[in-house]
Amino acid sequence: MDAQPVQEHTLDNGLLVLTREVRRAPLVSFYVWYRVGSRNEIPGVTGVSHWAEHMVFKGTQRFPKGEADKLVAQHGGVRNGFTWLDYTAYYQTLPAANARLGIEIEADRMANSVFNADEVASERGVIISEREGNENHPGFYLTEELTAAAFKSHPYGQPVVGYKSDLRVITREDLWGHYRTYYAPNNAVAVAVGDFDTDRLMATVRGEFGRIERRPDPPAVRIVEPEQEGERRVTVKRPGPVAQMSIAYHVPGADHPDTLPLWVLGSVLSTGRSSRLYKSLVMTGLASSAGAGSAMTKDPYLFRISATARPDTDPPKLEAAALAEVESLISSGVSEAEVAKVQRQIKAGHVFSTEGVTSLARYLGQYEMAHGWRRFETYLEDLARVTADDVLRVARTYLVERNRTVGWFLPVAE
Amino acid sequence: MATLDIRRTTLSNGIVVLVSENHTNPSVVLRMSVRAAPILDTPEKAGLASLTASGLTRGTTHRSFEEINETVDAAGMSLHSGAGRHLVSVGARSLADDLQLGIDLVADVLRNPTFPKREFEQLKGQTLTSLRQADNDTGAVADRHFRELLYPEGHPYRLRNTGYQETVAPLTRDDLESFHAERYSSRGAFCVVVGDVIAEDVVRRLEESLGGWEASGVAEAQVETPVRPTPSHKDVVVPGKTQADLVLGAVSIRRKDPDFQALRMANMILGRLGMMGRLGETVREEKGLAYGVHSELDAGIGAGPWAVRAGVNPANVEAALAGIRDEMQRLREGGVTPQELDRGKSYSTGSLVLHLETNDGVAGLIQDIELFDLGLDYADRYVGIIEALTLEDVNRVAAKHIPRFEDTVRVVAGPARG
Repeated sequence: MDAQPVQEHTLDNGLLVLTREVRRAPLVSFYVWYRVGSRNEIPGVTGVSHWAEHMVFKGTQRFPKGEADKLVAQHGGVRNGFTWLDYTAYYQTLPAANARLGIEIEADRMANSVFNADEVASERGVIISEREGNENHPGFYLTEELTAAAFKSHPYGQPVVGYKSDLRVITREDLWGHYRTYYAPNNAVAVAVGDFDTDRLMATVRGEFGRIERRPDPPAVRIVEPEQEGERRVTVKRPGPVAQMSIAYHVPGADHPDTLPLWVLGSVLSTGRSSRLYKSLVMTGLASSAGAGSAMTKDPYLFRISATARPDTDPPKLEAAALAEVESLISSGVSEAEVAKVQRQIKAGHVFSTEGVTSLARYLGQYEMAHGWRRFETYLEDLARVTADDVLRVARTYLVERNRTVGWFLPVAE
Repeated sequence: MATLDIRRTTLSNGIVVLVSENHTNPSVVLRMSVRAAPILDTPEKAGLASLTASGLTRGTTHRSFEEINETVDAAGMSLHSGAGRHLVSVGARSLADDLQLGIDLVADVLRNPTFPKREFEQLKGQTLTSLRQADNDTGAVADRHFRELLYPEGHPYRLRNTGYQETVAPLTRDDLESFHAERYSSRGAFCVVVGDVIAEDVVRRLEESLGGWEASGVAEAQVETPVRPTPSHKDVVVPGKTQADLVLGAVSIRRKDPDFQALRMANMILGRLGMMGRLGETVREEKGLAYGVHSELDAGIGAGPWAVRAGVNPANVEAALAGIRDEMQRLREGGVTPQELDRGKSYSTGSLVLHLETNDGVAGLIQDIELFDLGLDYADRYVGIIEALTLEDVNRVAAKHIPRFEDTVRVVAGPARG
């Protein structure tokens, strides 16, 4: 077989390294994942994780500003960074002969980023521009308001990009403090997937990362969102083309056994044109699109049902139809055939989405950030064990009125 | 060294089949391309070709819409039909075991669609909703006005592929049925298959399913190069927005133009390479004016646009335009440096293996090879083509084809500017 099992290595400084040889194409994807994201942010500095992600692209002594971009391009590779609730991550995917460059850049980024004050000042404009680009899309406001309403205490309620008022005042010291607290080998996971010899790759990884010192463990996030005691509602009224609806239910974090049944539930509701919501919301002409599902997160997060209304649809009708579909599922259950169909869809989707080394490495990292990479290895087997009863049980447990937050974007004239 | 084995065969009715075997992953991508694309649209019925393409999967003489959906979802496959500017693409992505099912469905929806009334109305409603959203989207609004200023009335590149609320609203299912009857045929059609399959087997199966499809109607549409438009600037207000999207550019060249590779290289250095090239360095990194700014060359069968796009705060529009103007002038007058060219070349050649990593990536390249007659050995020759570009070529072409800022068409769409 061209893909070997995952190997786990731990350096003396605490850096966890996951490697997997995959010899389909002469490429290597190398990521470093930091266990920090908006989950770790407190009010007043929302968006600091994402902004810090931008700052560690600003150069070091070894790779002055712009140099790493140029080198990676010159060596035929691609690179990027991204920030989410639980993590901040960076990667380079390069032709195998040049794989070393990605490892050098990431080790250097972890230890030697500069956070020059002038760069912070100019990046403020870029970060605000990124947020303002999001603001041009009505769905962004709806998601921001809905998520904020669903969480009254846990930082998951705050936007990853940050509130604009915070982006205007975050200082260089805030960013630097964030970097020094969280960018430590003992708070990071490196993932390498592709066409390499593990021993040789690990020698490079040890050479580059081994000299970075362990730092004090970052503060733990101790906040637990209190149980919701009844429906919450939010409405955003802004100029826009059509109404949009989103209904969010609290669901457990990824380490909970209900996670996979919830994913199957999301697919039963919305994957493909034979799904329940496509039939009840789109085929009926109430909505132009509909979706449902939950993410993979460390702490309890949300299962969402969303739909974009057609211009002539009365919003309450769309909401009633969506909730009626949930009620019908809870009262009548799902069939084994439906579950089997979804399992086949998810299995095929898994084959398609793990074709390249960049996405394979990304999955490994995401699983490790949420609840351990081994779950990725057993994902399809675990999925095959989900039954129609499991799906019904999680629907009855979580998709209930007292646990939901209903959000609407309603267009108004300016 | 990144070789790509492509087997090219012609079915009895002229359909070209291009297969590339890739046995590293148990999946297959099938993409059938036909010529009934939006470049055939008339201004009065803009969006007809696209709506027809989308409507193919809504029911056939053999299968209802529900049956198609149940079949597709039960196999965990995806069935797609949609229109690009030059081609309609109908395709399936599935596990390799389901190759025959994918071929059956693709052949059925291409040859036997019935555009049932209920499904048509539902599709039209969905389309009108997304067109309404586009008219509220600053990027889409800017692009619409940009094309209207760039291309004269009647030019196919003037129109949005999916049409407009006002042209799609009056369309009927009979319009789709007529368009399908007149325009869909095996003439000029080609099929790309990439994945865990055997080439001979694919050809045999396709001959069975599609070999009997008649060749009639149009082959390749011709696209005239328009006269140079009058430079102009237009501000469009989109209510309720925070950011402005700006686009500026000019009519550029065809894909088959001998200057294409050199211009592509110049454009890459200006607005793509690394983090959005020189434009990214100036407008984003130095001045902090925008999260996104880039340039793009859309060379098609006809001369498509060359454009710079950026999303900026309304207060920064003039500063961003000034930064873009300076970089365009610097490139036209000073050209690129030997270092930049080296970097651009090594990116272009080195990243080929990355672009060919997935079946979709390979299928996309093969589609281009067939559409633009690049030759089956294009992937092998590619490194040589790029290496042969000289500084003189790139700089000559930049001076010739990157327009003077004063000669561009510029559109800014966003909140009212004071």
